[in-house]
Amino acid sequence: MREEEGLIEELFRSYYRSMRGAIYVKDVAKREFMFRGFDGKVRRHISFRDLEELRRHLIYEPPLDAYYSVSLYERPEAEMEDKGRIKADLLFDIDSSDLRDEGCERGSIWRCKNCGKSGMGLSPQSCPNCGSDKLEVNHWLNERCIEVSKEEVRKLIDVLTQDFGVDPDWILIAYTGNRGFHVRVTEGPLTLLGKEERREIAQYVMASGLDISSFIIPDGRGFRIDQRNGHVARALKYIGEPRVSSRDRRRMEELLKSSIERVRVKVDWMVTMDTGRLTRIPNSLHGKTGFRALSLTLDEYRRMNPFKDAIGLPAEPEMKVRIKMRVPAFRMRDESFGPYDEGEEQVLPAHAAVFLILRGRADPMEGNGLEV
Amino acid sequence: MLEEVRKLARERLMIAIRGKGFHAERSQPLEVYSFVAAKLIAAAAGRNVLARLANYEAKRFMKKCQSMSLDQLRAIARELGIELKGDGELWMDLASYLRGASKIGGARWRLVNRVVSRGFVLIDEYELGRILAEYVRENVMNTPQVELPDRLKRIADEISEISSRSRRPVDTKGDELPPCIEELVEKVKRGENVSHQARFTLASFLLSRGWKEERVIDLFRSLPDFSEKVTTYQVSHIAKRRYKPPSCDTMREWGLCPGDCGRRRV
Repeated sequence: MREEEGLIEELFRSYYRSMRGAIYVKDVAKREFMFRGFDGKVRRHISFRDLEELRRHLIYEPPLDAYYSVSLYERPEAEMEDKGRIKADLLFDIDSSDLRDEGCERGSIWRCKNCGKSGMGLSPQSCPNCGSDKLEVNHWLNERCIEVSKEEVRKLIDVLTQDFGVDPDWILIAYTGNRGFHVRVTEGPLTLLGKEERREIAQYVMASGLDISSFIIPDGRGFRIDQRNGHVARALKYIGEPRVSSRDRRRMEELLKSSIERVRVKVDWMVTMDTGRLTRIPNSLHGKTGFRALSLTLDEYRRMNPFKDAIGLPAEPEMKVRIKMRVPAFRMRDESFGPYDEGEEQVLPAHAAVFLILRGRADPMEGNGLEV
Repeated sequence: MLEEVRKLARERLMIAIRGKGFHAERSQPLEVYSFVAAKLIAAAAGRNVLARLANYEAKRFMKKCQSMSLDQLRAIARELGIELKGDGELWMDLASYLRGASKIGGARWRLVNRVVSRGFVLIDEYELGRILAEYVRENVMNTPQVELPDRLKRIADEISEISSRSRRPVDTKGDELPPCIEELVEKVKRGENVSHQARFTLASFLLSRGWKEERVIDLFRSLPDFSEKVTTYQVSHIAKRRYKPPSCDTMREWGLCPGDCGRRRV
């Protein structure tokens, strides 16, 4: 391995050494673990007897990314079919990449794999030059991404507590360390649901397949809307008047439809369906940012700003990098950086340099010391 | 008594395989013992027989529901660990609702089209019976395979023989099917009960892929409620009208999309 990349691994190692007490996973012996190493290799079906063993592993072989299963298993190290699932947290994945928000994508760079055309900002559905839909995107991460994700978290919490009756104490919010959040229900009857049932839950949350006419009830000469469905009731707050004459029915349905678009929660439904999914170990580092995956309470998540609260690596040592893709201006720990252009060389504090390297926007340069 | 139990168990299975009518109600102990015996025999006779029996018992339960009072239904639900509440209105706890309703096809059963509040789902009396019937089906399907005494074993062999005569294995190797269709084909082959929408999807898709009507009908022979007349009519209707298979969006709405496969249409 090149010396400069070895430095990042050393930074991760010393992070895990000093933070060992903060690494905590409930029911550790019944979980499956998965790691992506600095060699790029992914290893699954790993189990640990206790927390100490897990913590030692993170220091001994610091991973780029560290995950554990949302399921509890009888035999976590076995192949999928033989694991023996006991129960599984109900998991929701909110990722700003799915939200297609212009502000969040302002610094993202897309490139057509077919003709090589590239551009900045929200990626088009297909290449404006050659029409190919094979676009690769180097996403950027800014405060706006976190804001739009938080709004989805807020809506999801409403559905979970108001509609599904989930006790707020059973809800766990985790910042992934990159562009989104994982929300989990960790206790109660919903943790015992199977795949088909979880699909129903996900589709409800997303209002996918919602048939407005199920909630419009004939009433005298007009129509009434059954306001007891969570989505419909929340959508009505944007409209008002729940009684309509027959003539207005179509207009009402249109109005409701567009308001439901505002109240529905954009989650990745395949993640929710899949009880074999993994989530990041709390306080482990994200391999695309160097940020910490944070467990947050219902109050904390609103205030959380990853550029202040989730930075895992130290400022020392300074590192020399060469910019290989344009970098927008950003702030870390109240210090401003950038914008930088392609080809520029910069000496940056370790946490900022590693952030750019892991995002694929900069390369480390020789002459970076190993004294950490 | 034992002889009578065996006889009624066999009767249940025979009618279940024939797929038509119900046995005449007997005394309660006889009903209970023969139900258990029929389950054990069916489990030994194979997945398809078990699915047939499950369908039979679920349908029979539905029929019995018509003469039951709401209080009786409530008592059964309580027995199964289902929580119900509400005066005048009927609310079922979310997890119990999903356990039953996620197996039933149709937009009205989808959670997204329901009034859901504080962990409870609004249902009516008919729907309560229908959900309980799914619990009956699940109960039968979860019967373990055990070593049977000789006389029951003989019935199992007989039933298994009769049931396999009515099935014609359909080979789908070599057909490149998208994952959602593949999953449905496997479910049907295993004798699982799939929804009306799932059957429509299969028939319209396979016909559009050039399958002959006969072959599609043979695939459906494994369905627990297979009826030659109904299936033949439906399949040839779909073939004649050249119905198109549903889009991915519709598949998702129907709860039949197992996950992103990268294709834009089925």
